[in-house]
Amino acid sequence: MDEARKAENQLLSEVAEHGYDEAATFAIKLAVEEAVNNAIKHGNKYDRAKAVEICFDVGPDRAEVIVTDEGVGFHPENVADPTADENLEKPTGRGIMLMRAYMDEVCYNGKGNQVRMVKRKP
Amino acid sequence: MTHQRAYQLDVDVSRVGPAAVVKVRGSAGMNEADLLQAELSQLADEPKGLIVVDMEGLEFICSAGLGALVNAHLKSRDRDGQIRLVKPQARVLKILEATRLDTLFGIFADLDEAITA
Repeated sequence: MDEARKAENQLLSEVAEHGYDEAATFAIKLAVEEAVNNAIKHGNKYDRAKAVEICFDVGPDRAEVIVTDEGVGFHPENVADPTADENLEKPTGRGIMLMRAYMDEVCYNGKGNQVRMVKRKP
Repeated sequence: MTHQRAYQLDVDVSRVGPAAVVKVRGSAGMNEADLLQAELSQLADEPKGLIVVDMEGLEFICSAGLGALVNAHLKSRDRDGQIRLVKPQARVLKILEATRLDTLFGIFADLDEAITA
């Protein structure tokens, strides 16, 4: 987790250097937190022997982040809508929804163990 | 009592009238959610307890932090208690609205109002 935070801080430093506004920075931070949390918890199932890879490319117009875990993957379309009435009181399940709400692009690989997210600079 | 962590979350708990006021400051991200969860869970044990979470100083919350709020809400409700939120910053309020958790919690603009409502 500490290593993930280091990577996140490095990413956010580059975001700041490129002059992204506070809203975009907030969105990127939120999305990366969610993606990494999902990778550790649901992907690698807290197995410390498994790694989470965080790759990013921050440019003047867009920031791209790819988070990959070593889990078996999942089908994001099967994740329940956390905003549905019947799911509102569930403590978990909001990460993917937030990533989609705050980033401009969110897509998973076929296996479901890698998410690629893009935030365009406003 | 006050808890601090290197990254960013401070949690202060005080008693104001019938309420436990939980003042949170900083960032309730993936590393900090456990701290929030532990504090709220302990307070939610109280029968018919009123927990007021002062969010004015909270700059960031992720789904893990939201989960801490929901868990405490469930636990508190089981004991006929409730949780109210006060003064979330605009970005935190937007997250509450995007997840529709604003419909689960009472959200107040003023601490006194939250305590006496």
